[in-house]
Amino acid sequence: MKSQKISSGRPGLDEILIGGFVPHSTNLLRGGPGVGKTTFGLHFLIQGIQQKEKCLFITLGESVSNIKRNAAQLGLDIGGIEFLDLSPEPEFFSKVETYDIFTPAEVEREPTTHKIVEVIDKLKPARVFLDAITQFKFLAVDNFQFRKQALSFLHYLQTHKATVLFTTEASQLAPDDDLQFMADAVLNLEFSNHSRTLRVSKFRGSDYIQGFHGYRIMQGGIEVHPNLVPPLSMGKIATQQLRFGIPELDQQLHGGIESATINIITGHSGVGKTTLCLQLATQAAKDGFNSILYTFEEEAHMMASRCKTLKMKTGEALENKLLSIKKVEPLLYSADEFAHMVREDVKKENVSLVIIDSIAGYKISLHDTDIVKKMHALCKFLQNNGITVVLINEIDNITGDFKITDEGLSYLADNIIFIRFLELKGELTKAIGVLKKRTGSAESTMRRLWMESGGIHIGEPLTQLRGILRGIPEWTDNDKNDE
Amino acid sequence: MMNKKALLVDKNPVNTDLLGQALEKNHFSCTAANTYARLDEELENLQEYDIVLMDVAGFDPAIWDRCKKIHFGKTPFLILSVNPGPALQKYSISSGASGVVKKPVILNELLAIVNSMIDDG
Repeated sequence: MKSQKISSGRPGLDEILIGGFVPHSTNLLRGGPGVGKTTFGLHFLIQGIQQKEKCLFITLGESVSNIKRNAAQLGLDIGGIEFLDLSPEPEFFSKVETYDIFTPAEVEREPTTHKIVEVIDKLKPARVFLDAITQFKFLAVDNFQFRKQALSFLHYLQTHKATVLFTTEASQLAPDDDLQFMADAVLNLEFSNHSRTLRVSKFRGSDYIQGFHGYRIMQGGIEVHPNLVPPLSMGKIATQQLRFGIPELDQQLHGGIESATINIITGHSGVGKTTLCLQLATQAAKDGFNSILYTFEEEAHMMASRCKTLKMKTGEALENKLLSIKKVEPLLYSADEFAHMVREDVKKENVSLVIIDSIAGYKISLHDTDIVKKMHALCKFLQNNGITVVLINEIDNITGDFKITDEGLSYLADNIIFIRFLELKGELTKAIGVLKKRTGSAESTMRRLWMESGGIHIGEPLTQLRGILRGIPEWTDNDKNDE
Repeated sequence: MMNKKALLVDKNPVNTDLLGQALEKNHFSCTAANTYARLDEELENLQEYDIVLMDVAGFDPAIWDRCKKIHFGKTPFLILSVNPGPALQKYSISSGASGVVKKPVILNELLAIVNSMIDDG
């Protein structure tokens, strides 16, 4: 029988640890200054208090008053946590209470050990957070003694049925490799390239989600955003079509786009990609489906105003809460945070259609990480949960050879709809076509697209033109002769 | 078992406290002198002491005169120093010290030296 895991106090971390820490295990939280080790520890203890467990915080560095003040600033309620303060008192400095006659190991190890044993025996805590165990190094005469003492201390806590989370303050001069060997689990916290990441490198007795997971320290504490792992199969998902509500376009798509597909709408800037997606969401609302559009660039009110000008019924969908437009500032979010937000939204609002506007905006939030990998995980996660995904992609080059995306994401798409500018008899116009439809058939010809106050209009198939994808179409020979 | 008496001389009272506590656990009775005034007072009763442990850090060169006085009083004494360089060793030995021990000291080693000095004395 598997024993129940011990919650870390952070749902995202529990997800990474497949339920939490192993009971009565020793878990190392390592990372540089400011990565949130103490805050993670407080969450671990707060969770215990909420479960009516006895929790002990042993501090060897930061004073209890500082810890309490910082917790209050973050809005964390740490009432009920017992503290054992082994940090130096202020009098140590003011009274010049320093000594050099003996080593600290000779003087302080015994009283420190005595204090810890006394508290553990009295309190019998279920959870212990020790910040930071590397301070014990100064109480040992050499590395061998330190390793022996640390190991025996961790065993002592385990035999007292405590689940232990402890931190290290590793540096090049004082590495913590030995402690990584001792711990049952090792969680690495890092702060680099504008984002904080958490990685599990060891977890005895349990599976875990591998890779770098984002997290954020904010008011209320830490929020962990695990990497999305798409379910392996889609299960039973009803296939139905989502219509644009523009008869000619739906005809081009032979009915519409199938649900639970990944779609790319690609085209030049200003060609009408977002408006077309809003039309899809408006029609989805009419058909009873919920949609969310995440915009990295344009403001929601500008989109709504444009739809109103085009006499689209988008306003009604927004009022009826069948469509939400969420502005996302890419510089404030990491890819994992964005994925976490999308996942929470679709769960809460029972969403059928997710539109991401655009791939370029999403890329900014990635801060140099692999866009294909992250986008793949997010899209497949949504798709495998029965949600239709539309990615809006902007093509840089106005003229020249046609390119679907600049990011190599076309493999991901079940359907690709493209819109492009073209010059026809000296006039700039737009054409729309279906380049790929994995889940069914579609019209192979392009049609003229125009938007005016009356709405979005699609013309008859442009069967007499060739070279549309180059942007400079020519009449076919027969039609030239007719002309 | 009769307690042995040690005079502990150090500018830093934390050092004399710690050393005193450690020696007292090992059958010593200790008196601390953290100033010249206190040291001079105790030197009047030097014959009461079995050993003097002297940390010269923080004292001026007049401390070597006190060392000579202890030597002439035939009480064995040790110099304790964080940095026992050749000059300090020379002054210590020429002032009559039995030896120089580097700080921080290891209690068991210090006890072994002190006990053997008292036994030899």
